[in-house]
Amino acid sequence: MATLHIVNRPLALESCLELAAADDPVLLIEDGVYAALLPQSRELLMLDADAQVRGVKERLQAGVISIGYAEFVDLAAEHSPLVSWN
Amino acid sequence: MIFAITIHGHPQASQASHSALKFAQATLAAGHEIHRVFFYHDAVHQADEIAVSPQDEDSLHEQWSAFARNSGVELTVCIAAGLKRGVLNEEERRRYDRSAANAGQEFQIVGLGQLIEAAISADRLITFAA
Amino acid sequence: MNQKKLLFLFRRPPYAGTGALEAIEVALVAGVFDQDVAVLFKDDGVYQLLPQQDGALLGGRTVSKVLSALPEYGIEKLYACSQSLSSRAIDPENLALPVELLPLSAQRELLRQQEVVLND
Repeated sequence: MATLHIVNRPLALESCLELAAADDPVLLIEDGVYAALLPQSRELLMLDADAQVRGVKERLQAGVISIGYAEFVDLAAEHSPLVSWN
Repeated sequence: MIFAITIHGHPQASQASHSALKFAQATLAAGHEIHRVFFYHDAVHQADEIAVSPQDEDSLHEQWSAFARNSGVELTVCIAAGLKRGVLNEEERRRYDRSAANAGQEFQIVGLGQLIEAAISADRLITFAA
Repeated sequence: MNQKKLLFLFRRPPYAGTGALEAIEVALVAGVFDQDVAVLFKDDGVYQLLPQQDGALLGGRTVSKVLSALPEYGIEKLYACSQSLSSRAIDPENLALPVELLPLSAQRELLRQQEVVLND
């Protein structure tokens, strides 16, 4: 089963991506959504509510997919383990 | 699916507790179970019932307390992490002869074993980091 | 009791608050509960491996000494990110406890095997 990575600040994304396999989803939450402003080498998921709070939604790079809490729960149920990066 | 949720971030210095509550609510809404919520490191401060929120802000402590009352989900706080940060229930207040207790009644003070037990018993453990 | 593969991912430096020690406590408890525990020191977590630490000067415990208790609790799968060590100019031949150095590819493989990951 693939791993779900949860990144809550942009500086943690680099370390996360060192260990994230190609089929592991990487979800940006909280301040992690600021990473969506920068071009990335792979597809990233982003928690919509946190992007909205921070005014990030209007300035997204391509390859960032916005999801809600319901989908966050689905992702967590469908992946193991769950790894948090801060 | 059974989830265990652990929170590390300080309620006033981090969004961790807020994110965790939203995740917990969504977990139950999706029909899953929550084995336990475990507050560790600075997140133990969420149990503090005497903190006063400004009028124009939500009280996350009250929201967690209401969540626990309505859902029956166990909210637990690590006893050692709580003691060193000044989060005590009445039993610990008496044991250490302190002037006040401040842990809300919906938050149970427990040992670290409860975190490991939750990690082992649940299908998924998710951490809301600092 | 159910035995799971638990990985502790330690990325924090040892003396910036209580976080590092509190995370090590969780690992020790996991050992007491007879879990299949591995520890990976990565990023600033590798600072926990520097020899000659002295926490007494801060009025507290010495993190490397607490870490040395891990094998007594049955935790012997100790790993460190080789890249994190070299980028911090830490000599891998002179560490406070015996760890296996892993390149990124081996860390990815280690992660793949885990059921639960806890961080500090």
